[in-house]
Amino acid sequence: MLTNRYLAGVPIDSRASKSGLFLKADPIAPEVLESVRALNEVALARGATLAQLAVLWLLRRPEVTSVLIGASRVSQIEDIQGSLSQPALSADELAAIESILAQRKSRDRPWKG
Amino acid sequence: MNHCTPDPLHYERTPYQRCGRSGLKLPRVSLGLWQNFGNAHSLDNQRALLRRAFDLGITHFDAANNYGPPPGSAEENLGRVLREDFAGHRDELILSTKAGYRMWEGPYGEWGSRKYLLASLDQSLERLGVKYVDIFYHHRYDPDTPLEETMSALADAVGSGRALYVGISNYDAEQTRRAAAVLADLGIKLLIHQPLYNLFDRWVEPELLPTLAGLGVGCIPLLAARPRSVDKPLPRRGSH
Repeated sequence: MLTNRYLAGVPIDSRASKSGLFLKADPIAPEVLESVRALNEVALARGATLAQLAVLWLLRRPEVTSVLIGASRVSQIEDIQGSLSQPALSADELAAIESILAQRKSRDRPWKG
Repeated sequence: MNHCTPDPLHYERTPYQRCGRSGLKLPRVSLGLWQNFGNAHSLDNQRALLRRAFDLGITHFDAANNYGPPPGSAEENLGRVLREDFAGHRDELILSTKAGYRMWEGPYGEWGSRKYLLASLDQSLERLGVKYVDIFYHHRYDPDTPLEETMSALADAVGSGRALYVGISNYDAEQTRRAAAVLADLGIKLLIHQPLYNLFDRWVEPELLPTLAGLGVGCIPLLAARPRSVDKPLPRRGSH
């Protein structure tokens, strides 16, 4: 669950910042934070955490075999594992996510380490 | 010694999915060691994370030569927990490691030469305390080394028994097609590709994912953000 501190723009010690969604050292840009807030609403509507939503969203693709997660606490592994017992994202949810993401440009350059 | 005795039902707690067109199944969620497993983190916490993951049916732990900090320490710590807690469970685990980023000083400590890859794999096996890894990855494409040399090193890692399967990480679609073709000529199937991929970074979607589907190669996204140094010169250490 995103903490209020995170939503206030201070990602320190938030669950999301340690879930692997973002590197802790990365300052979160305001437009990203706005998207995160909206995505969190999508997650909350199905009783999920943002980390669970992020995993379910990757698993929507048939090419994706498994998702590598990072965790600093046992509870984070349990939380993300919990996403696997949830129903797959619906067409409506996927459309809502696309709409949120369309509001900021996705990086489309290959990542070449 | 306090050996891990997982819940008898743990394999029913997670679905397993076939990795591309291969015989290997992976849990839908796997545990990456790119952070939280260096020497700055308590071994007790690392032990708790690995044990709980396994208890939940997460059979795949993913490392790299340079994970830490310091580089190598994540493998050393994983190796210690494997010895102390997972004795007798090796055949229930999928362990992976990688080489590609700078690991030691000098001209043989990074990129994609045969010299670097096989020496690095031997070092990883030593730190992990295992005879073989299940998956050995080339961690980043090397524009200056013939792909035939890099892929033949991966193939020889399999041929010599140091790895069971091979993978690539951070290769784009075209590089992936060429790598798979070179490996096929050597009689080795490319098992898996590990890209950075998340809600805010969808570079894999236009070309890479369809390419993997066509090749029958599995995909295991690393749920992490790009380092901010992506727009600057290549990071030297601790990169994904």
